[in-house]
Amino acid sequence: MRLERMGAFHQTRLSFMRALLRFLKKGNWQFERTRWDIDLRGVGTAIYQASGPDRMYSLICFANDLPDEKRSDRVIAEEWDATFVLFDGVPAKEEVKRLKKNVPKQEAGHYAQTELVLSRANRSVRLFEHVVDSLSVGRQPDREKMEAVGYLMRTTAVYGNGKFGISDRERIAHRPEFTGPFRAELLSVWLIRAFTVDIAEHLATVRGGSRATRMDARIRRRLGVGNATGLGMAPFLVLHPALIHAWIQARETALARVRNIERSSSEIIRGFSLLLSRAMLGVESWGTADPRQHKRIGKLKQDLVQLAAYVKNPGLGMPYPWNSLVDWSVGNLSLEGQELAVTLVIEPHQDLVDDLAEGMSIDESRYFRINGAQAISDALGFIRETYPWALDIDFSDPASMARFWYVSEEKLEPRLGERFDEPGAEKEHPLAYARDIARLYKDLMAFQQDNPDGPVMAQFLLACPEHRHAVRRIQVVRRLPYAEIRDNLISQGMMPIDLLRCKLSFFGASKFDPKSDRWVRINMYQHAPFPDEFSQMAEDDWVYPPLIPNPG
Amino acid sequence: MFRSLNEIEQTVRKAARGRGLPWGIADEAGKAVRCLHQMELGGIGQLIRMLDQSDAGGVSLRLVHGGGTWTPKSGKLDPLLAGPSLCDFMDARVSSRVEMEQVACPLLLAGFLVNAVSGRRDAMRLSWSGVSLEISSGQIGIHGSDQELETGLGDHVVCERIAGLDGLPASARSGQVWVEDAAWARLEQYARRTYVEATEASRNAGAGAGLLDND
Repeated sequence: MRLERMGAFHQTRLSFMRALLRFLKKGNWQFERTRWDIDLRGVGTAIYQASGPDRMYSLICFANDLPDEKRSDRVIAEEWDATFVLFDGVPAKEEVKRLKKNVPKQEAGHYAQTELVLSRANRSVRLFEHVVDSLSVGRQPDREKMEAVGYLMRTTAVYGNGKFGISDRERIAHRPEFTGPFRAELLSVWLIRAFTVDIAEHLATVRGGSRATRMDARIRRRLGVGNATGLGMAPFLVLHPALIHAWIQARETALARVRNIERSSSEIIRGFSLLLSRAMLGVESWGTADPRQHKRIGKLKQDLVQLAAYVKNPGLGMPYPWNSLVDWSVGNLSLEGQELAVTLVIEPHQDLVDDLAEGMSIDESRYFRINGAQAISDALGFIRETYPWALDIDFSDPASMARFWYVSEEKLEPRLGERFDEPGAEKEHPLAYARDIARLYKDLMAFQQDNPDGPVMAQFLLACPEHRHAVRRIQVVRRLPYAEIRDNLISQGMMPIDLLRCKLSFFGASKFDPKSDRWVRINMYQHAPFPDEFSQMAEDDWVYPPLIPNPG
Repeated sequence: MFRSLNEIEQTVRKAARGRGLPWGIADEAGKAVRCLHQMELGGIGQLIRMLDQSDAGGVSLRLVHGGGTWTPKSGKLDPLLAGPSLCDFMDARVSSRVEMEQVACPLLLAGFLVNAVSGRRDAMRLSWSGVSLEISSGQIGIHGSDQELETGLGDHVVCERIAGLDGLPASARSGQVWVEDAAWARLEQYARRTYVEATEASRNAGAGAGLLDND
């Protein structure tokens, strides 16, 4: 798994947002806005309730009237347009009162086990105001403006798993609705999306009175939830190797199953062509001001034209059509194009692949323990075989060691520093596995020479405990081959956004819009059904825009 | 204030690193202290006591092993350093018995061992003066007084493999844990040593995001 390829991933049928909505649909979950207590300035409380066969959850929203100058994209802000908590069950009045005192403070609040996810969002000023203004005079918002932004609000953080004292994931992980990765967080985001439209319509009514109108349902679906993702997400991929293996393995297995299909029906092939046209529409509306990404999207558009030509001639009537298509893509398309081709060939094969989405969680503790009985000679052989790319790096070259990962004292934000220009490298976090495994290899060699009687890992680690994290790494990678990112994460040319894009693609995000080499804006749930129309919408057919032009 | 188990694990991890232990050891220390809380054996109090001793120079960050006994290079033996290696030796059947001298806050060793036997049929006995702990998957059988259990020093600590304890139900709890604010603040002081002070340059370049969000 190379960083450059990870940085070209697109969502697939296995992505967590899609798997979550499929699960909710199958379980006939019901959704209701049970409270709307928002005043004329847009300040107050709203509650959205999700009811499944066995349990209920409530998204409690606290809306704020934030002055423009306080609106920051960064995790380090202290006030937001709206704050949210996903509550386990239906909150009593007293609980809402308690949460009203705490949730708007986010990290600084006090929480109980009933709180599952904590989040906050800011308005996209340019689109939010336009939408409120248009609806207030009875007009639908402008299509181009909607396309250019794609969301009314952006979340700046979505916290789960025990952060700031909220519920540990292990308390809810056994529940069927939360067995997949990040499902509680993504349920919150989906409900937040409903709130973003409701608050805009509310303010339009306040402003326009009887002239105001609601948003057309088809236009509304073009809105997702925005998110600004910075370096905070990057260490996760490196520090959870077993989980990443589970994600990549599911994706690779899905692709292998599809490539193994000998013949496809004409119905599937027609469906694929239709899908390709819809994907082209989606790419057309993918805008960015980032020159690198702009160029990549331009090439991707050409790739899709080439792919469409391929689908006509030689076509997909030959034996093993998907395998041939993927092979052809590797020789003819850009990385973005190759990865979109992977997403697209998986897409029409739901019966073959959707089960894999349920196996993307893993009990990481099963891979945490170190095998002290491993022979040093065995470890050395494995490193030589699996990490030649790391052993080949010259770490005496400053360019190979140019960066270091650290956590800043200010709001505990992960950052990337310049090793030779900035203070703090002695507080480096353990993300430089290429370097650390190369060092481990050297010390294992020396240890073996000093102990010719066939030493084992327990003895080595007793003498050299500083290698413990690297030993754990090689032992995990030995059992889980997709667990490693095969690149030097502290080199000068490394692109941190590649890590972010990989993780976000598994979430199901789209419209990656890099703002630098280390943070990216995305759109979540664009084109997805809203809770109030969920039961009437087709299952999991939302990710690409429809071909029939929408009004507006 | 109530703390989640994950919050405890992560903060202990940073505190152990902040005290100077390697990251791979710190990862296991976080899980060990979390585990002691799940067993209602109050790990943070013991940990802070140990870190404070260590910080005052009374606990060695290196251990010496000769003649089958582990001893500190100087002062007392650090249980956070010894615990992971103890698991390697016992788990791997490299050894069925390890003896240690001068172990600071030896109860902390139990957290590592519980994780090592989790989900397995293995069982260990950890003992020091007046105390014997029988550890199997999700379960600790305790013999000894609270005072002896929570001693700041185990002169001679023995860990040995014993016959598996079948049929004992797991007693690990999940949920929030009450931690005194003063103890948490002390833990965070150690954790803070892993953070790099923010400068204007790092604020702008390090994370990369714009400061205003008004588009």
